[in-house]
Amino acid sequence: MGLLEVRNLSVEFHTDEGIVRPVDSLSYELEKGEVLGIVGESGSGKSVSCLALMGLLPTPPARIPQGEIFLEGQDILKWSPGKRRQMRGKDISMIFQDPFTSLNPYLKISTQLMEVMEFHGNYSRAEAKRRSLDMLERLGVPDPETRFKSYPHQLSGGLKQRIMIAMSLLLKPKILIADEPTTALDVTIQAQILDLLKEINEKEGTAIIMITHDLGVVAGLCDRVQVMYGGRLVERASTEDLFYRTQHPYTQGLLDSIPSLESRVGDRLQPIMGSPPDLTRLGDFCAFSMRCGRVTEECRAKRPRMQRVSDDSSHEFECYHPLQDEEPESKRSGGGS
Amino acid sequence: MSLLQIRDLKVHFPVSRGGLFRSEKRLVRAVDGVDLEVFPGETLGLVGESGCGKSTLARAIVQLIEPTAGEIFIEGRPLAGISPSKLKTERKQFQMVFQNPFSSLNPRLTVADIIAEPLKALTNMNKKQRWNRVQELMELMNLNPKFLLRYPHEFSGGQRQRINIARALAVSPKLVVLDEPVSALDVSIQAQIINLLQDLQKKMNLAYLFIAHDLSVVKTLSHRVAVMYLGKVVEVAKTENLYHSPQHPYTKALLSAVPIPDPKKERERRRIPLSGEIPSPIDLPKGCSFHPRCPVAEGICRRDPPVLEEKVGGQQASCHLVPQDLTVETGRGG
Repeated sequence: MGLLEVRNLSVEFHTDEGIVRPVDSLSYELEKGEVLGIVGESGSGKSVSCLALMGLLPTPPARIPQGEIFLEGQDILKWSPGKRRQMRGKDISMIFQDPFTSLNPYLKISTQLMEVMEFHGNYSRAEAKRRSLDMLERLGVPDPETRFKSYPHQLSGGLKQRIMIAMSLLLKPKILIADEPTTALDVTIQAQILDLLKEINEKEGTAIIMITHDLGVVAGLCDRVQVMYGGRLVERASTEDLFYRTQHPYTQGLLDSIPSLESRVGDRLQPIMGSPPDLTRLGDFCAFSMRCGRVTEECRAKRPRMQRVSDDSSHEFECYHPLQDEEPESKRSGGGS
Repeated sequence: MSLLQIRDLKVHFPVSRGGLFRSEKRLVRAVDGVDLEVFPGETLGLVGESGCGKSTLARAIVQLIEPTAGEIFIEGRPLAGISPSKLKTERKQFQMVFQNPFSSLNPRLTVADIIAEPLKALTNMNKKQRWNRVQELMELMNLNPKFLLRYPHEFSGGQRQRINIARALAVSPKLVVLDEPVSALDVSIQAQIINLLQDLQKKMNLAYLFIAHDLSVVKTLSHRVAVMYLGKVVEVAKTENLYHSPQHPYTKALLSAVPIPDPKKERERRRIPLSGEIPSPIDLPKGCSFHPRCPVAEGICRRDPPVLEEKVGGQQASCHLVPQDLTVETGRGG
């Protein structure tokens, strides 16, 4: 069994407009030391599924009607709130998109870092301080002694994100969830943070779940990727397979609509028509069918099931009309190997 | 002739720091001596990291902030010191689209009223003419004219940005200043807006000053690109030249930091690491303001500020270490 296994997880919100399912029967696994990318647009359920994992969803209005989340074989959804609190930070920790709002503006960096260790462990203040400073130094925070005594507003966005990463790594978690950790940052700072995450993964063996909408970030960092749309997993593959042997029309649409540094002046992008689905109106049909160029009656009648490219492949997709169907030769040779 | 010309534009904000009695006046040099030109029908991309002054520059151009020094010309006519009524006439030539499609539309006005606002303020169209123009604009933006009496909250981010663009185009300007118009949108929607902007440019011969931090987006839309760092333009070139053979070390580093959505290329490629972060525009470093982060800085960079000049390869850059284009230099001398 893997480090983390999510089985058939759904999350519901009860709203005035009806029941919304931002996460709909999601299943996946995460191995030790792996970097898993979760890609999707706003409202695709990528953040909510991870908040459910952390136990950070406000209930009500959120509810988890079905599903199990196994952390090293134990179903954490059955744990008491107290036990899950112990889990956060120590087994799984999370860094958020906005480094500007995720630190408490009233407290010094030192207080916020040491609080984590004082809550979880039997660390003395001196020990907690020493470890915090060590961590800041390792993450390349210049002049850690001074930063340690600062308030968040005295630091830049990149530094704040480093502090958040330091905080989330203090207790050596097995899994680090990074929810769009570089979206609010400039490209040169983004490059620094991504290199840092890669280094943590390689040196410490921390498994990382990287939530992002940026396929460039995925390409450089992730071992495997899963694409979400309308709360559902629509495609999952190794990073290479996802980019070079794309199956789902939505994934292809995403790839086509991003401008690239290699594009030429005046090149036309191929956008996906329409807008993301209204989650209150999704039912037993393909969530992408309203925007898909390959749509048929079948797609509107019944939600497709997850299927594999071939029996021995880990490349899966939820679509009746995958793209690689067009090239029977390559499929045959793929099946034969 | 250039449609927009900016000469040595400076925008400084005074800030005071220190105690109640011994406060010390200092300046934030948000824009610190920028020269730029935009020609009719072209897109000039303006890129740079947050805090480099690109939005301040945009606001100064459309006269939302008064520049501290320097001159702005629209079709050769200066904007500085003209009467408010004349400025109103000039405003029909340049309009702006803002970054955030959620906060830049008044939630209490209907879409029709929002788009008609500049027509009311800047033209003497009557109600009927305005209504017709608004309908025309809705169709141009691929928005259903049935939605005219709805309110902004009923629209998605992409639709709101279309409304924003419609408002900017209402008075048929020649120049549209676009301040990060797609950065708040999802990628699939972003592509729709980029295509729309390209179509509108062709149809109406619009010039854009397109401000963005995403270098790939800028490349798709721009004919020429200017790179800003700490209030100054450090490199300007034709888009192909800038992306193929960047001259300034900052441009090189910036380009190398953009993640490529292709696993093989992304993993093989070498980044030029930039240490540290953009310094405060209050205490600008001496000499070249990029030298504290520059991987190739030498003694001269710490002493003398470089100037923006023609370099080998036909682009302008401000760096001591990039060789000058001597043919251009002698050409001027003779």
